[in-house]
Amino acid sequence: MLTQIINGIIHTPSGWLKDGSIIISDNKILEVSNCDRPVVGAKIIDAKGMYITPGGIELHCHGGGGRDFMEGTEEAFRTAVATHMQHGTTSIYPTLSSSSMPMIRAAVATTEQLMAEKNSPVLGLHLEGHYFNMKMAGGQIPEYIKDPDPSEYIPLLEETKCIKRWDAAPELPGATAFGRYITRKGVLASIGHTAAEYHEVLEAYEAGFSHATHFYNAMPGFHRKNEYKYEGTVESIYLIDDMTVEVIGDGIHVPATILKLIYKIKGVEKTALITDALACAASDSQEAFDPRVIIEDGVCKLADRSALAGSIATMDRVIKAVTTQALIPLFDVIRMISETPALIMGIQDRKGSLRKGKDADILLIDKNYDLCGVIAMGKIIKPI
Amino acid sequence: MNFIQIFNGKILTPQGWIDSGSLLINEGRILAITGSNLPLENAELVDATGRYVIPGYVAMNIYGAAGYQFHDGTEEAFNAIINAHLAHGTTTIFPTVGTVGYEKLVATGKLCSKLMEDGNRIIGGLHIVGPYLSSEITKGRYEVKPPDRKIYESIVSELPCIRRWDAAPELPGACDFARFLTEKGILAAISHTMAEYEDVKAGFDAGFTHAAQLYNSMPGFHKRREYKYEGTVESVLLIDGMTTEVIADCVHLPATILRLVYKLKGASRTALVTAALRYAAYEGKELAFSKVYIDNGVCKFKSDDTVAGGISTMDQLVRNMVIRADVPFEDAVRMASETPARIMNVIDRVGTLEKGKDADILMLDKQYNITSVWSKGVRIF
Repeated sequence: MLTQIINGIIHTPSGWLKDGSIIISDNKILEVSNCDRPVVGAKIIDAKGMYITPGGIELHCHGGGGRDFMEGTEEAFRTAVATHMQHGTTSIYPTLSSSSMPMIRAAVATTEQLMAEKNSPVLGLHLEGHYFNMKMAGGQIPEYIKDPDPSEYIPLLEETKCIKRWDAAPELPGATAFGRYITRKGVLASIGHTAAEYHEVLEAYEAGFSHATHFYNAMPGFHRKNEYKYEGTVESIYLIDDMTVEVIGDGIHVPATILKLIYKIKGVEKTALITDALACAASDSQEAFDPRVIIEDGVCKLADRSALAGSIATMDRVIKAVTTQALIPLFDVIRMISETPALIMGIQDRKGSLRKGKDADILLIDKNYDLCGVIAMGKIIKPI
Repeated sequence: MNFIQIFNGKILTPQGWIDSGSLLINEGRILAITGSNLPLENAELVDATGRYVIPGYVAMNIYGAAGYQFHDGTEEAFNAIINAHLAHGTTTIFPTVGTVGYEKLVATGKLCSKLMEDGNRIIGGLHIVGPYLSSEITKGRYEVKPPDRKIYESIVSELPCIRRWDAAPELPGACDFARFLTEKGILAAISHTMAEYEDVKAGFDAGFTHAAQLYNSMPGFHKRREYKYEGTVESVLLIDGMTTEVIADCVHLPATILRLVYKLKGASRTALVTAALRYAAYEGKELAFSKVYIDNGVCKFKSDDTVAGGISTMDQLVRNMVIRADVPFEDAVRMASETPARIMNVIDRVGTLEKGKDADILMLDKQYNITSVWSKGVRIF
């Protein structure tokens, strides 16, 4: 069955394309054409002058619609994934924050089940923790945090296939070996909830930690200890050009000026935007999986207000916040939610841009940067 | 009249290194830079024996040396400081005075004007820091206040030697102050500030085109309770047109940050400064003033052990940038000569080795130690 989207401004790797069309066949993009004449047999979708962009690829999200991936059940997963899809996330790496091994195993089982389904938006599991620096724990559950333990992680990665990313603090004993091992297993190693200084970040990078978790959050910047000054993890990451970063794009975890600075220094191709959404995102729920967390002023925090603990944002809110507050051009914002995350996760062969042969994951966004339509694997999820 | 020919060295020009060429000096100026190593008639020959031949350093944000500070206000002090730094490669200097009170400021300024009028061409002009600084940053150490138009206008008219004045842009009246300085051809710089992006940008638009000692005496990004805020540092990094400087003594900042600023701002927007105090290039054992002491090469306040200021000289900064911050030697040299000369608007006569400019020349060995200094064509050693 052919579908043809016309009358929109198409986001292509070579720039915005006007007066063109996208032809979808089943779950793939058959063509991106510079011609908008109707193709024989195609069902026409009129984009009404809106932007037509690749779907959002979420690297870091804990839940939504009232459900958290840490619950581990099929129902929780389906609810959260479907919720985010309505808001522009056409591909997702469900994320667990620091958990116990039984919790991880349960989530792994559910992830593998969902990944096996045809046209699944679930691309793999992301473990945010539990090998973190306790001092930088923030909203992570402290009871589960420990040093990297090969008797845990080796069997886990030998016996399962769906874990695609694992975050850790590289300064912990055994973290370098952990990074090397998981990299060999095809798992992205990312530094996070860390206080690493330059030499530790460099060593981590060389051991395979090529990405940084929620840049600027749960990591120190330049600081003073007694009379001397030290670079923080933030500056160290800026010094390593090839290290990629992800940034929470809710406009709250990182202020607009810093979003601008990251865009300027790290650039589009090294920066992915994430929601880091908790279960309460896109829901009426006021509760989080972690009882210490409250929702206030449009963000999740620890009740003692000592740290932020995740967002209630969804992909569409990230697009709107970053374009309107940080004044980054929509073209680049879209790349940071699609092309760059695809590159970081190594799935750019089939996702991340509107090109012939790639998956038909498409968003329609109006001139006010509001999301108006979602197509995932060729199926209309949110009609215009 | 004989001219001097320096040959057989690696000469740094704005276009890059000349490996076999000559630098000719006559009557205090660079007569020519040629591509030939052949000895010339009538030349007093100086064999550089393969050494680097680079422009003399241009120092701003520099308070003293050899046991003196400029605000001591005596010719003896000025001469001692200038000569001490000259021996370490500083051939152009902008004497810096901090928040020392009206009388001392005017006395020092008048002396500076007099020395310049009497023909001292090493002095580029006066650099004042304060008293229009943030009280949160200066923490009661100095008497700071918001800019007072009547007072600063009268100071500027009394002291024509002022070439730079640092202030905190968020203070009420600071933007008017910047506009006034800019009108008078004086560089307005932000310093000792808590300004976040809006205030830094407004300051820049009003004339604060330079940021003093980046990362020092100003906040970087920080957390207040649960939220994060950009600091002055990030704001300066966001404004491309703003130049900056770093205290490159590897005490005020770690080498990683020096490298980061070089990477982000670049050699043409970043100057190296010493923030040198009384005890830079100091030979004596006893410290005459009791507020500070030297601990392992670091000058600290006795009261709280925080760093009191620099005791480095420009040559050490260049060496630090190359050896510890991994910056190419020519860029480190530029950050100590061409860039500050451009920032202070004296690039027409100093800062690079070019025909017609002052013959302020340094010779360095392969370990980046200075082996010779020429100031206005006269060999100092």
